[in-house]
Amino acid sequence: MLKTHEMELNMGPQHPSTHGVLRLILYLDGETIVDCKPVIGYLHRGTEKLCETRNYYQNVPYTDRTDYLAAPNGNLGYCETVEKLGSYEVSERAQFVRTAVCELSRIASHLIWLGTHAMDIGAQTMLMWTIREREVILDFFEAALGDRLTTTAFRPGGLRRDLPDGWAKAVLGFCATFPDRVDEYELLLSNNRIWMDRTVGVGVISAEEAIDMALSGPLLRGSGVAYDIRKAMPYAAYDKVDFEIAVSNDCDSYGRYALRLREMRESVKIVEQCLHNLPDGPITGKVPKLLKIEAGKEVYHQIEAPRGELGYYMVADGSNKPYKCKIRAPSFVNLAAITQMVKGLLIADVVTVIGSIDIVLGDVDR
Amino acid sequence: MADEKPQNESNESQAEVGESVAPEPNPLVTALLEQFPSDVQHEGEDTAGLPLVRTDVDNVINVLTWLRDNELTKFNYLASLTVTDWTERSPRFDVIYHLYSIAVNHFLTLKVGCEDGEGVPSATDVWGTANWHEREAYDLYGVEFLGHPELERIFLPEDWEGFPLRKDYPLEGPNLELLTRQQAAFRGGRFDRIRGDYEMTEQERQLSSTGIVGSLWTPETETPEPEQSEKPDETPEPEQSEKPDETPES
Repeated sequence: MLKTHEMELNMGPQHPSTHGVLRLILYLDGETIVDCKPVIGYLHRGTEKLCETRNYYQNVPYTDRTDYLAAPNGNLGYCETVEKLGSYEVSERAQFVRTAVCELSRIASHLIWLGTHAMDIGAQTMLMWTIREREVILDFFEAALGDRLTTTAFRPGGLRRDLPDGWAKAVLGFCATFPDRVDEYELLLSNNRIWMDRTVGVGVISAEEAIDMALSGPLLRGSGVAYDIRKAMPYAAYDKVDFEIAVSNDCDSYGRYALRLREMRESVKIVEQCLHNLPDGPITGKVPKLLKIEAGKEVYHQIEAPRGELGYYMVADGSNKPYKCKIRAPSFVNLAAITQMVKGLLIADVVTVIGSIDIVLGDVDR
Repeated sequence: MADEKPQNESNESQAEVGESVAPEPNPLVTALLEQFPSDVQHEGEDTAGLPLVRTDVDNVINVLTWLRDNELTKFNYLASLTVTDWTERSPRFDVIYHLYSIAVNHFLTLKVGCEDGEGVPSATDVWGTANWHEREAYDLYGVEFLGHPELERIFLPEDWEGFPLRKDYPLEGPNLELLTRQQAAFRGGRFDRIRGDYEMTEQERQLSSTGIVGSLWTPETETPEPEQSEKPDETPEPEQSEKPDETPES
């Protein structure tokens, strides 16, 4: 008789398909996963503690470095929280620019996700294609925000500087061609036999479980829950643009793949609307040079980052620094569900599930 | 979900009216106060106009379960869980639950005060997501969650001393020797950790109180402190050996 006993296998923290320094301890029966314990914290930098020691303006660069694949979204979440906390006015023009930049960053983030996720599974061409489009977006960021990745895009009250001449036109040109590029991606993957074998029915999580684990973003919508903060609690200029929430009822990795592609198409629509309707006017509202927010004020503000609900909870104490700045990171909360998602799968599927959750370790560990 | 949006908007419009005018009691809070008349207190609104309520350690699980299961509230989504440290206050910590209802689209913040070492019942049975949030809160604040299935540190190593997000935990970590002026400027500009023999200028004192110190750093031209030069013959040497150490940092 063949005797099997549970084996413990360590995956990571230095492993190419864990997308950073994620360590998973897998408990195996043969090749089947019985249990999985994620170990995180290798990239913990104490961002929340640092935020308590710098003033409200100085904290903006820290927010780039949490989710570094979608830095403008982190900036937006932080700046809007400060604006809500101090009841500061934001200029109309800034709202539209912010929305457009954040949607471009959502596209860029999804492109990196698509390329790396496909490469993990074996479709290496995909990354070359997605990097090509992402490069264009990063060039737009460099032109408008001064940097490609760590953008420090916004300031409480509005923007740091106005868009350069011709920027909107160039972005609209990109938006006109981008849906065709998404068609290309779909051509390569959507009906690909290997792709479907590797993703359909892998990493299943039901809607009830997803809500219980407070998943958000594509992971929650991929389980059939139409919760999108851009619609539920509109911020920036999202109440002034027309778009649809992408929802999938498949609950598996393939469903989330199809959903993210649809999201990219919706994002293009949002960018186009924002830039066509871009109002003139000042780029920043009337906000004091030194922000001092009176004690006793507190607020929780959430935005829809590419990975899900990015929340900031901030408490003011009357000084120019936040007394507390909690970052509710979407990757951190989403990663907690990996144990449920990989049980009963094979080791190779763990790679699919990690890619499908779309974590950024800077966001998980903060 | 779009049907439920007006409720959220009405909350926000209450905030715009201003805090001096007492806003209409939120139906959510009214229902909660009716259910738990003696155990729940309404603490007003946050700056977004969303309700804040407070309860105590003994009732927190009852209140959370009721909020999750009740037809009116339906808070099925624990958006975030965190702790604030009010060092001088009693109870010292507030455990804060940010609750959201996907079905109804409303938001509530619940606070529970707890003393250092007292412990709060774990909410892992109410929402699965509380597991990691509570581990994080334990790791960074040292608040214990009773009945938690695996209350271990989540970010920091198991043998780490202290809880970093507590207000009495120094920014650079505990048991750190005091710094020279340049080191302090580099490591976040905490001038209260500068060596005692250095006297701050008036400008530096002002800057350190506002937290703006990034531009302050300049290469040191002063002679090193007397205790560093034990041998009077070799006074220039420590000066030279110090500089190569510091240049890579800049």
